[in-house]
Amino acid sequence: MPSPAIEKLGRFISRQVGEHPERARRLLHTAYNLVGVQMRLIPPKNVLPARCMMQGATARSMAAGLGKPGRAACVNIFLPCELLHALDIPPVLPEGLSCYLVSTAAERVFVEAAEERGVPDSYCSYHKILLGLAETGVMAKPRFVLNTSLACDANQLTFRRLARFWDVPHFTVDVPFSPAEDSVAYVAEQLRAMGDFIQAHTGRTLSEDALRAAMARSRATVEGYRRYLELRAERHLSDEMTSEMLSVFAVHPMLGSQAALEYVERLCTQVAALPEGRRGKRLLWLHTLPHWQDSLRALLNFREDVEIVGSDMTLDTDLLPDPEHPYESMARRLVSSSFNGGAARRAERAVELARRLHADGAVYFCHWGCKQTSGAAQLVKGRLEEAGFPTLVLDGDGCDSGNVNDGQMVTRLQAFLELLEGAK
Amino acid sequence: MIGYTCKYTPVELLSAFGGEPVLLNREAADFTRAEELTHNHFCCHAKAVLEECGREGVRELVLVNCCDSIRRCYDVLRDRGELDFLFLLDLPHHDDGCARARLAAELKRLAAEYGACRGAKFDAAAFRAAFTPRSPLPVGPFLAVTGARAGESLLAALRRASPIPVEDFTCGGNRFVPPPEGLGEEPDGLLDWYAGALLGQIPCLRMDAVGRREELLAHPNLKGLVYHTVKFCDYYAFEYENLRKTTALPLLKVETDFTPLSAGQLSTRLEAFLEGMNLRAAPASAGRRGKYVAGIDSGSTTTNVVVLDLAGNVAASAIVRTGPKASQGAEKAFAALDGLSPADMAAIVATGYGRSNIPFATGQVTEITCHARGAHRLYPQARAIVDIGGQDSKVICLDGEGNVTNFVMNDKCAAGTGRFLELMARTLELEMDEMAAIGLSWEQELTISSMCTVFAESEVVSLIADNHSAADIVHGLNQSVAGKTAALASRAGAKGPYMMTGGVARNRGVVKALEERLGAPLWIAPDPDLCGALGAALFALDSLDSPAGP
Repeated sequence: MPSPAIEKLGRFISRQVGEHPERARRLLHTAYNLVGVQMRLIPPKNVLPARCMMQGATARSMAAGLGKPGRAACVNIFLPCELLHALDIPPVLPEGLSCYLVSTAAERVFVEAAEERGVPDSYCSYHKILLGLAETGVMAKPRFVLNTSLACDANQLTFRRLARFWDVPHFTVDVPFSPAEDSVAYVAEQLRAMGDFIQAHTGRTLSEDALRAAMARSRATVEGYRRYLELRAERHLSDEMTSEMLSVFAVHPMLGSQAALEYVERLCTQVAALPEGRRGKRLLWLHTLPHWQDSLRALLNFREDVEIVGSDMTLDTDLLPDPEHPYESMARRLVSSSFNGGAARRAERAVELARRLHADGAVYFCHWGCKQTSGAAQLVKGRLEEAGFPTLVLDGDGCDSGNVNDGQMVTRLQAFLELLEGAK
Repeated sequence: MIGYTCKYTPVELLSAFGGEPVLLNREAADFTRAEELTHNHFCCHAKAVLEECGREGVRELVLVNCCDSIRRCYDVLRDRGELDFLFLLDLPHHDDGCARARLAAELKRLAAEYGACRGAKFDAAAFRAAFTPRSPLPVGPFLAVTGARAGESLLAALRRASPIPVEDFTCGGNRFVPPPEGLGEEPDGLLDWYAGALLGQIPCLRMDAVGRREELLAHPNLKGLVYHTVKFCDYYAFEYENLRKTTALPLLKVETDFTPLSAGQLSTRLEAFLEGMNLRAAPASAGRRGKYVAGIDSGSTTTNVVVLDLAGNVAASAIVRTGPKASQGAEKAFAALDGLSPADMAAIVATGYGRSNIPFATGQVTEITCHARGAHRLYPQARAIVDIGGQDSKVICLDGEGNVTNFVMNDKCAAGTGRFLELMARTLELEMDEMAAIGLSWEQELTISSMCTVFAESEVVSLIADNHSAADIVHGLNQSVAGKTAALASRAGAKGPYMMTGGVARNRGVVKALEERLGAPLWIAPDPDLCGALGAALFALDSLDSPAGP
């Protein structure tokens, strides 16, 4: 549970949503800006400074989504954003906003608002909260909506509905199943058209040099992240349970930005300074992490005996971006993502990461409403276990406690940790 | 045979290699195999496809990359490696020139792989012969089922219940690809054209541009729509929401889990829908003589009876526990009337879940229509009725004449119903009357966030363990029921003045929480359980004057 003060704030904000959405927006905007300031001036002592820096950057990005209407671009998590960074247009990641709302204890009112407007209760809660946030008038109308068909059907539904609701231009990048070169060419062509779309709707001209520079930052960020993984593979880090979500933000919507590059550089420096040697149980986490769930935090947060060493959302691909071929490079990243294509690809990637990071086991988190994750659960578990990594399929919800049996989740995770302990 | 599920499947191409395509569209009795391969929180249609493959011994299968769930069906079937031929066709989301070229390449890949599997060559004549003409629509009025794929037994049930033809406009029934004209025999050229023809169909919601779906509903003889959604398939709930706001056609939403149907609830909804469209005859009286008429509401928890004299005044009423059998509950209800028996009734109309099982009833009308009728008699200003009964909760919108204009019912889940409250009262070791009172004297606001009754029960157990007072917990539960019910009201497009019926209307705690949620008062009759039975009795009275009567 969030602290009583945060709960009080969340409740107050929730009460404003119906009658005074503008006021709720201003409150959230201020709260997230304050998080940015706090992370810069008085960061928590037990968190790596690199994480605090990224926390501040994400908080500011969330605030942008709640700032003046008509400025930001609303994007989904897998959309390549180098074009936006090159044009200095802030991308707003609504799934990130859902996480933030949970941390502000203000999500329930938006879940209910979405369901009252006909969003099915079996729908992904991140998307449900986002729809509630937009349709209550709390989220600022963006300049336009950009999304990929990757990684799930919800992108198609949520972003189409949002673009219609806000009455703003909308561009979808269709990502084919196969990673073959003709798929790369198909997606690259669409990304070029997306560049034209952005220029037409902003009146700004995209400089090839600026795009090349953004791609060069992307390349350096991915190289840095690879170095971090090598370091992490040999070290123990007592970390916040949800830290990997910051890396997801850095290597997806923020990839190509200076902030993401600084984050991985600092991460490498700070992790390199830790003593070498692995200890405790090392978990590979597959899919999203539940920000709201204190019962899981008690088992995984800042522990000496267990740590989450990586997430497949951060590491869906680590192909090096090529600044000389920006569109093909971004396209290749999309089609080769382990979240695209068959479940076997996702399983192979999970096994590779588990080996690379010297994981002891994996947790496959079946986020409520995510059919592509739940449908692959048994297959991925089977492949990981064949490779020698015990795997727990854990049913939960990244941001809505209403779909969760909390006590049962804790029992499952605790039993799994005991099982790993026995295996060590 | 080669199984397929999606209308974008190139069935004509499969025929060109001697394949015999069969649409997999049967509901599954259970999902044992499918859930072993996937997960219980997984699209029920996709699970039914997995079950059908196993049950029917399908050896060849072409799936289309339509959605996350079907893609995962392909993954798990491929992993099992039990089929002789399995292919996933990657369908683009767009329908422009680039997308057509991609689909053409996919068709050629399929042709090569299926040809190799069967040892056959592309037969252009068989390809052309496989195109079927568009099925003609009925000349007279008809209903259509649209939305998510409707399984065979759902379609059969709809057709049995409806007095006018029911057309299948879901992706299982509205496939039409025009035949090639003026093209040669060369496969590559034909497949390039074919890709465009497949993409030129009326799109399903998975496609990027869906504007042409409006064409589906533009037919003057189309009199009403049954909109189907499948549990854990999210696509169509979005279209339904749009349609609900824009269409002038009578619209009924039905959600299934692709199993043989929850017959009681489906038939209630269908019959009420048809009653609302005046497609069902008024109940006929049985031709008996008597000075009274009766309405009997056979619910899951109680059976309620109202007797009217022939001038329409209430002569007697009773409420009894239904017990295990609807017919016995009805007999008990009459026995509680002190001297009046079914033989004294000129007509008896039954309503409620057990309405088909009351042997002495002379007619049946659904509880939706009966509630509206009863409510209009009791409180003519009412424009929306909130009815929370034992097994279901519903919101019924009505016009100034007491006619139903829209209604929404909860799904199979018990959350938000009287049964939910009963279960929670048992967990808290409270009687229902105590529970109704105690919820008003709360001190601390608690949130029961679980949407599932079973999860909510464990949440309540945790709150008890944390030493929260029963009053605070009951208040949290009342808020939870109010939240669910307010969402139903919103989905129904309900506007006040509101009236509340059903046993839960006696629970002041729930009523207060709901009034706060709705921002409006709820009018409650002295006997809120009797509204449906009163409406049924009024229909019984009508039947005496009906030409269809005695």
